[in-house]
Amino acid sequence: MSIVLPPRTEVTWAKVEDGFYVGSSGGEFRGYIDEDPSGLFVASNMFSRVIGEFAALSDAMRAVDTAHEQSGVHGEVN
Amino acid sequence: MDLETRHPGALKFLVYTSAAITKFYEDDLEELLRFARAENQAADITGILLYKSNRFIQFLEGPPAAIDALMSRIRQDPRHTNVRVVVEELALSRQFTDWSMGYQVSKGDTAPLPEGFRDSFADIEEAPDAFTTGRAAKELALWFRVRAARASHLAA
Repeated sequence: MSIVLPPRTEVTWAKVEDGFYVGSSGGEFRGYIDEDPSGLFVASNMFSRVIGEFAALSDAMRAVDTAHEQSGVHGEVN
Repeated sequence: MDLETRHPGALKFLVYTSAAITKFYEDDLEELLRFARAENQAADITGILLYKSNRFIQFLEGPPAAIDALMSRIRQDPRHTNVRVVVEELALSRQFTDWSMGYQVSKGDTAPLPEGFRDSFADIEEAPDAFTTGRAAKELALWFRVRAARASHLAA
């Protein structure tokens, strides 16, 4: 049995305005982060489904990346 | 054979940026949009208008001839200058179907750009390549849709 790891695609993060950030790779959205009035970073996937709420922007970014990787659109396991 | 020939009903999707001659306040934008909504609805044009730091970014989509005619008028509008088309392509469907012309005023940024992040507003105006400009356009459109959905939810 061999395991083929999914290729790591470079992720680009962009700030549209304070509190709104979009992650994409290869020109396709991975998800976005919207800071709510209480200061929590709400991470959503590319279908606007909420992934979770985080106190730190970096944790929200990681959640978007992880959710995207787990969505099964990359690589395969043999 | 190009898309317009193969699909006679294809739409033109166009994004342009421009600089306001004078500062626009909320009332000025409302007045501008009131006029644009009526005119664009009659021409089957949808889209959005973004305003930030005296800069306009407008997304337009509709019949190619109608978009071209509107752009001719926009270029002659004395209220803004430096009109620059940054995205111009044909599309088979609309991105903005729920309003004839919505707008969003970006609040001024106070926080520094996080390390490693790109700036969507800067990219759509200054990016040297079409890929980055196109991505910035998608980011701005997504931001508009999320904000519009939130406003609609709060109003309900």
